[in-house]
Amino acid sequence: MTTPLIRTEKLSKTYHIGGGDVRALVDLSIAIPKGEMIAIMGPSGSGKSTSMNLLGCLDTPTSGNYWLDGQDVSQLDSDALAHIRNEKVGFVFQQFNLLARATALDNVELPLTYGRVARRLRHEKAEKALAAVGLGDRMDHRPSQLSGGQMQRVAIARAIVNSPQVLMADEPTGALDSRTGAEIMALFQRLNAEGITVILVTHDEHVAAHARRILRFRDGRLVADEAVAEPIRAAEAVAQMQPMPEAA
Amino acid sequence: MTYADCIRAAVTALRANLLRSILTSLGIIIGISSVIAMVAIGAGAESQIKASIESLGSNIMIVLNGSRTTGGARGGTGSNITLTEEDAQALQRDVPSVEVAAPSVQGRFQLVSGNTNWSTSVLGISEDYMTARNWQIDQGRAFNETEFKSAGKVVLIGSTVAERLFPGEDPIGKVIRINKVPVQIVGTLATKGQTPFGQDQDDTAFIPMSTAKKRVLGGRWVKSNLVGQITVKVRDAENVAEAETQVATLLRQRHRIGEGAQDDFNIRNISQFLAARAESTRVMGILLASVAAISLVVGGIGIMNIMLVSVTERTREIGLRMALGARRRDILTQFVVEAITLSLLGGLIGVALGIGGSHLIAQTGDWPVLIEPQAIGMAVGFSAAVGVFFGFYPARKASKLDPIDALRYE
Repeated sequence: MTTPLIRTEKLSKTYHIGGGDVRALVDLSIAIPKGEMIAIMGPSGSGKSTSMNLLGCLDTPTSGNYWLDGQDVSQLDSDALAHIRNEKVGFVFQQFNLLARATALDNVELPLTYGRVARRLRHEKAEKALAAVGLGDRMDHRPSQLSGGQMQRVAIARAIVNSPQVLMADEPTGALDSRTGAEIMALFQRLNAEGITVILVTHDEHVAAHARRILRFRDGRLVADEAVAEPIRAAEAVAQMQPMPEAA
Repeated sequence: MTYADCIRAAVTALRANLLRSILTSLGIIIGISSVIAMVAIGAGAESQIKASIESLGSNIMIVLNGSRTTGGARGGTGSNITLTEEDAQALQRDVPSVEVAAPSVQGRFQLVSGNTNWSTSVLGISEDYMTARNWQIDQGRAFNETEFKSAGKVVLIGSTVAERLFPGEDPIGKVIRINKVPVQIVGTLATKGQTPFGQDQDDTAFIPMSTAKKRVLGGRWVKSNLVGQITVKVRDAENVAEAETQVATLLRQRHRIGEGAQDDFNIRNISQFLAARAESTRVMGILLASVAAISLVVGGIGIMNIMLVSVTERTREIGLRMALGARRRDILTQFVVEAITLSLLGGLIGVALGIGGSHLIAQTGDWPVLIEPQAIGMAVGFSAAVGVFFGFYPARKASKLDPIDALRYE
């Protein structure tokens, strides 16, 4: 068996708040192979956000180890983590987090500017990523000129523009209506089918049911690691829905 | 992130809040433009006064014949002449701080050339006079030693006289008559312009002192050693006041003026008066520039304030940039560059306004302004420094943000 893309061993995070210790994540040991589509579930305070921050290299663990793509990243400094995030992790957020004054193309290019990619290559890659999410004709639009679903597509294009190993999506459909949400889920499933590892962080069972594997958290601990027998196929669900006029 | 990316990001961010950016820069714009204008005004006034001093002859004092007629009617100068050529020699020999003591005589005469004439002040000068008063020859030559000694019939004329008597002609070699004495023009004097008191210095003619005494003034001057005035050049401008005391002491001794008795001479020290004026102008210039500099600091604080607001407003953007791979250094650079862009832009606009304002003052107020390139360089450099100084703290604050907290910031 090949080395998993993500492997953690007794990964823990403790916060010191108001004199007391809060054990946000306790002894997480998991392995996620390349190409997996996984959902992290749990109510707020369960440790799902903490685990996403750790797996996404936004934060460092208090103890334990984390190997991403074979590299131990648990003790890296903030600059090294920034570099890892830039090259290996793509983020998609509930509120899209696009730069309001920049065009779709500029937004998608943003990770590449931090990777010191030459300008022409940046344009090429960003155009390709936008085409891949179906927004090839909206490159010069600003976020205010796009619908919620389109904004999330721009955000996804931004996340995949640097060909990351793993896509971290934090409640990606939380701010969208159900049809648009289904379209976004269909996009994730397609990207996953093309080889990107996808990690969904959600409290929504329906969203989680699109993954092939669900990790359930409670009180900072992993309480269940179950395979989904038959994931929802979002593309088919969209096809069955009543067609809706989409905002320009 | 490259610097080009940083500048592009900064311009985008500043344009997003265009009015706010302009208002923020306004402090720097006002500061820099007033610094430029104030320095230009100060430097202009200073250079004008300096030029005046130089045209009068630097480090000069003039010993005039006395005021024994004080209380009586004026016009008795001729009868009270006590200064002698020997006085001048003694001053030059015995007062160490005196470089040159040049005696001269003067009178006002009609200069006649053919059928034109012109009344001007005619100076009989000694050999050192031209050096002492910084007179230069424009065309022709100065007097030679023989002409000084043997009352040569030669004359040097100022540019005003040349224009009046020989408009459009070359006066060199022409013969004119001064008080019926024919003299040949051997040279013209380089133009000096007006004194600070509005007197035309070029409306004059020089003849050797011996010529003046023996041929032009005549009468009792012919065999006398008396002189009209002694021009004293002091070695060091700092020593003018000290030299003045020494000159006065020596002259009182030579003229045997007892304790408590009044001087029979007057010492005028124009350059010192002007130097004081230059100094006060300089002090005023410094004061104005300091006030302007304070407004620059205030402008800098305005930038810092807005940058702090901007960092808070854009916390989520900062978090996002960090999530996408921005290092702390990248965030720091981005915000410092933004602050510098803001202040430098203000600085450049300020320089333009300052130069324009200076010209306006020069034209409408008839005030001399002098814009020095180094003042502009300093202003631009200073505005960039203001950006770095006042932008650094907010930028550092931004770069210290925790990406997780920043992303979650509402």
